[in-house]
Amino acid sequence: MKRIIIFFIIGFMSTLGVTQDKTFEKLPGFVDLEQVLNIQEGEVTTEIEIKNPLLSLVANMSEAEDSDLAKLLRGLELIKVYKFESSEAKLDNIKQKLESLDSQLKKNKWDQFVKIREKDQYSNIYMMSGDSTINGLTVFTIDGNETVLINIVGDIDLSSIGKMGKKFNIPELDTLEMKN
Amino acid sequence: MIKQKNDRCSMDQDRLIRYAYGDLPLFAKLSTLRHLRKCQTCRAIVGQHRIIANKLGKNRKQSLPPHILAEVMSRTGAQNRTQPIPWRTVFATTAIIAVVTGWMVLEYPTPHRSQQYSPAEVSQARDQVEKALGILGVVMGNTSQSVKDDVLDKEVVNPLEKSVEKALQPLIDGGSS
Repeated sequence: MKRIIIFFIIGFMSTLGVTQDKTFEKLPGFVDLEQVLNIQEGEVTTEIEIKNPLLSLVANMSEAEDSDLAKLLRGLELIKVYKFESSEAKLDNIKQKLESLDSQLKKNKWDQFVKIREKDQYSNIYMMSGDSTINGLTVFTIDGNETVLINIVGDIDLSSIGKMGKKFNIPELDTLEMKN
Repeated sequence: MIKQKNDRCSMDQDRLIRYAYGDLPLFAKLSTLRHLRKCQTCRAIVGQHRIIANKLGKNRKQSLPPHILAEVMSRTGAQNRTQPIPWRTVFATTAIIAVVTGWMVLEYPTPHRSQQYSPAEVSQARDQVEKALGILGVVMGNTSQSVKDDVLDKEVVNPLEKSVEKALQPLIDGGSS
């Protein structure tokens, strides 16, 4: 019987460990951007990855100076931004990967509200809607040779983003056309 | 405890006897049962003990008639003894409940883990957040412009061109004739 109890305790501890490592991956707004990064060869010029609780601390720090930023950050769990340049040959591979991600996201109930396919510009913007909130925002764009991947996870307050837009030049999301 | 082993297999005889008398805990009982399916020698041993156990069981069933037992109990003032607490079962059940509850709770975890950050790290993170929002702003701005251009072309410019062409067509046709 002792052996059985020890077995269950070990099982419980290992479950705890594995789950804590994959905490963010289980959130509904999370998208694995690594799969795109893995196929590109060029240097990643911008790599930003900020998780909670650091985001909450930044929100606390910003409260006095910028309450809108604080309000926006308070609900967020993760911000990931990657920016890199690629050769023409690699761009096709990246576009293919983004297309496969596109179908994957749609299967996972992400709403695509912008889709642009032009000669020099490729853009996909998706939102994951919860019951009454937005749980995730994902942006893939290729402009010339530059690719930008963004994934914001957590409760996203659209009104705060709208207010932040004045500062960071973000257009209001509801002004963009919804694509089905 | 009898720790003897069979001549032909490594099964503990004490375990076989306890199995025959139904004294083994669940998991031991299952593993013994699995062994018995394969081992004829052990099956024979268990069979012999089962016969003895059954005979003893029949004798055990000969108990006092209820009215006499009740009379004896009332005269002696004795009370029914409470069952001993099955600690093994309690521990095993608690362990299973803990694992299942842990799994269910951690399936939807809150990622707030206690972690220490220096003010410099928080300040650096704030710069990064502002940079990230700046990039988001640029990307969304470009996209918004493309969408507006696209919508403008589709919804205004192209229909207007067609209307103008249509309006001018008779004039063009008249002029040419």
